[in-house]
Amino acid sequence: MPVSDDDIRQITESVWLATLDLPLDREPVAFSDGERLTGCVVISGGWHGAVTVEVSEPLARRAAARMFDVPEEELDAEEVRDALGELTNMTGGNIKTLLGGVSQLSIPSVAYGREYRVFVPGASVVSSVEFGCGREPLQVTVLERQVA
Amino acid sequence: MKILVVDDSRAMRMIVKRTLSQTGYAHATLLEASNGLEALEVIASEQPDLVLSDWNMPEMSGIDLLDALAAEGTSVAFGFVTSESTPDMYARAMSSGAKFLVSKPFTPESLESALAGAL
Repeated sequence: MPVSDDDIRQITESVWLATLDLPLDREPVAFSDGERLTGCVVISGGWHGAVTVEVSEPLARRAAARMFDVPEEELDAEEVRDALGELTNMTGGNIKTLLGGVSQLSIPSVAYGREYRVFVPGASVVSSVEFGCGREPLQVTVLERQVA
Repeated sequence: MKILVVDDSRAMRMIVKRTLSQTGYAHATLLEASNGLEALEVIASEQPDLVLSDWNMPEMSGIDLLDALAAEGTSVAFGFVTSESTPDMYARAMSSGAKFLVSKPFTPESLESALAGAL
C-alpha cells in the first residue's frame, strides 16, 4: 500500500488540528469498556479497502461540540454522528488522495455502542495508528481488500 | 453577496460558514443545501453569486450538480470544497467549469485565496 503509518499520522493530526483546533498526542490511550463510535468510509476502484476512525464517546462529543460550536450538553446524538462522519470523510479522502489512481469514496457510516466490531468483508488490516487526545483514545485503521 | 454552501454534513456546513466569517466575506449572505438536488432549488430561487460545494453527497453529487447547472444554462461561480483532491477529480472539475477545488481541511487563508480568484 503506497500510504505509510507516518502519512496516516500526519493526515489525522492535520484534520483534527485544522478542523477542531485539537492537537493529538502520538502516545496511545487505551479504550475503556465505555461507549465508543466508529466512522467508516469505503474506497473502491483503483484501490479497494476502507478507512475507519474509532473514538471514545467523550472524544466524539468533544469533537462535535467544537464543530458545531455549542456546549457538549446541547448536542444530540445525530450531531455527534455527523461530526465523526465528517472527520472520517476528511481522513479517508486525504488517504485516498495519496493512494493515487482513480477510486471512489463512499458516504461515511458511523457505528455506536459498547461491544461491537466493524467488519469490511474480504478486507484485512494493513495499518492501524493510535493517538491520545487529552485522556481519550483515537484509532485510525486502514483495511485493504484484495481483488482478483 | 450570496454564497450557497452545499454539503451533506451539517457540521461541515457550520465550519465552512464559520471560516467564511473569518475572511473578507464575513458580510455575505450564507445559504445552505444538503445535496445537489436541494442546491438546484436554492440556486433557482436565490440566485447566489457563488456556490461552494462538497463533491461526494447523497441524492446528487457536487459534480453532477455542476453538470446540471451547465445543462440548464445557469451561470454561477462554482468551487469545490472536498476531502478528495486527486488530479483526475481536479481535471474533471475544471472541465465542467469549476473555478477552484479547495481541500478539506482548509484554513481561512486557503478558502479566501480560492474565492478571491473566482469572484
